[in-house]
Amino acid sequence: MPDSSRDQLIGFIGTGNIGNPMARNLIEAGHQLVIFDLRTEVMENLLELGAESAESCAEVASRCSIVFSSLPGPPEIEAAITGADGILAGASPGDIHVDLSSNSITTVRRLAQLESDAGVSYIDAPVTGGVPGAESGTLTVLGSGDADAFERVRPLLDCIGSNVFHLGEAGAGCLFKLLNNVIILCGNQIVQEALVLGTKAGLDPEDLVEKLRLGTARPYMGLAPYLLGKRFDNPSFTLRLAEKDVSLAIEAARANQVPMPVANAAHQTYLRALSAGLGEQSFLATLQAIEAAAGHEIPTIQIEGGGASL
Amino acid sequence: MPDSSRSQLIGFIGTGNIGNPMARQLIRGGHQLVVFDLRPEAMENLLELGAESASSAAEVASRCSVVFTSLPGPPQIEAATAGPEGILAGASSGDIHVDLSTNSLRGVQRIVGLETDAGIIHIDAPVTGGVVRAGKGDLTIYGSGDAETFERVRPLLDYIGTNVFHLGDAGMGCLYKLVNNVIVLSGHMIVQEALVLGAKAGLDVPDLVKKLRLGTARPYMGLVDHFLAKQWQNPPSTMVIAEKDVRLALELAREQQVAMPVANAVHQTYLTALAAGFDELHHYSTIDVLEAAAGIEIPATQLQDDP
Repeated sequence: MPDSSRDQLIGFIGTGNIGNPMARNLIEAGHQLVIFDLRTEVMENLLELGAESAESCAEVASRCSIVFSSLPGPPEIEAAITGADGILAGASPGDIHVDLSSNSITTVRRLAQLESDAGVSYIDAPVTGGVPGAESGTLTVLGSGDADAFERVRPLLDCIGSNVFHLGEAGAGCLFKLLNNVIILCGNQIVQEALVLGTKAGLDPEDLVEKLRLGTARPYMGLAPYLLGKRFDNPSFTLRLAEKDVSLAIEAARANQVPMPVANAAHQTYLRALSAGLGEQSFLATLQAIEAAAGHEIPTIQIEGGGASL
Repeated sequence: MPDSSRSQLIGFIGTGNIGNPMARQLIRGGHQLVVFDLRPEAMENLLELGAESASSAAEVASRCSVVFTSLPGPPQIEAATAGPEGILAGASSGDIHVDLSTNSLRGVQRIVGLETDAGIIHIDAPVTGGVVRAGKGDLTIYGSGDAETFERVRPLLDYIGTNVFHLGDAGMGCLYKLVNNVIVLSGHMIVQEALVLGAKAGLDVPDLVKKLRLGTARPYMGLVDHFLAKQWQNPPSTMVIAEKDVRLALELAREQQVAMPVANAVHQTYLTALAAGFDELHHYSTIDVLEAAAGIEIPATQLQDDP
């Protein structure tokens, strides 16, 4: 296959929850994609839009000089790169690999080195803004890695996000992302604890939320409709991923010797929720773990308002 | 002193940080106030506006049939009510005591018992919104207690707040307030922890804040300007008060057997701040405690792009 064809195809590995709409935005901007996901069903809509499928990460990398990946976490990213059928088995010197996933900082640095040894530029560019932001192409892209390579892929990242940043060496993007996620993933737990306390003490949940929205707690109440509605199925961000991100932030905190009492307390509740089998539910399903620990269930109520999501 | 004069005067005990602007709103509403605070300097501006001063809570209660209190916490409320020179020592049967403080649920119930025995009606009505909104009469009032009495004092509460709620029996107001405050006083702590981690890992903090405001963390980032400006002196709310509010919520959680891991972790950091002598500093100065624990210091910074 001639090089010119490799340059015209864009690879995309991992077309699930958030990867799928990002890949769609690249297609809609006029790019020809070669895609791969372990679950063939999550590629179908993209194939209908004209993407071509590959059998492995290695095949994607062998057919495209720029490859994106959007994967659940460090083990999956590691496998997609260094596995027998991974990117390194198919890529050529001069290629660029843009990882849009949330990874651990130490893993990013290791993978960046491995790819660099093979002549591949590693761009660490996790995204924030959630599935809605991915669908509308308005994500914030926290990019990092070689600056020249980053500028080459920036026009592609502009199809995915409306705020595309280059933040420094590979690893910086992940650090920003982990800090963002540890805030929202832990911050919402105090709201859950407080709602369980208030309702167990006898308050009406709908009335409580209404009054809290008129109090100083207002900025923290954006997710309350999801909590009271217990809309935990078909999540845009699973509890399993939330536990992983908090765990990665705590790992970074340990590496930097920064005590984080709140993050650690919140992590315990994520672990409790995982062991209760809530991993594939929304990250907000920690509410059920907090309810179970209190022996008290808040009745399910649909209230007005949407709110932020990851 | 004739009764008619008693019913035309409004008592106000505790004219500090948040009590002061509330009392001012009542004066602006055309009411004649009798004020008392243990620190005379906290009353000065109100006396200039025409309020009269008393020398004890008992004197306030003896001169006014409606008495407001705005005090730091359960011990001060207890002392102002049941102490030797407290409200009960001066009040008459049929009087109304409106407590705007944040008390514990048990504390409210105890005082309701004592006041009811003396024929005094207790209205538990903590406020939320902070000092700035107090100055504009724009607070939210979580009122509770006898409904008929509440309606009698509602016109007064309307000078203080724009959202004046009656939420049930005395104690309910405090319950709403404690739930509100445990969210507010805990929610920002994870932001402080994350900023310290980012700073120690080498990030430029103002730049980090800018990027987080474009991420999903945005709703949590509203207070960051204050954390980084580090103006801890003469705060609108002190560490002592913050630790107290979180402790009251945890006390309630223990009574209700509700495990609150995050609130407990937060409380440990407030205790560390008290142990470091931060009592009268702004409660946001917990960030200094987190920095010390991490062995770094984020320099005080005025952010350019205010939210």
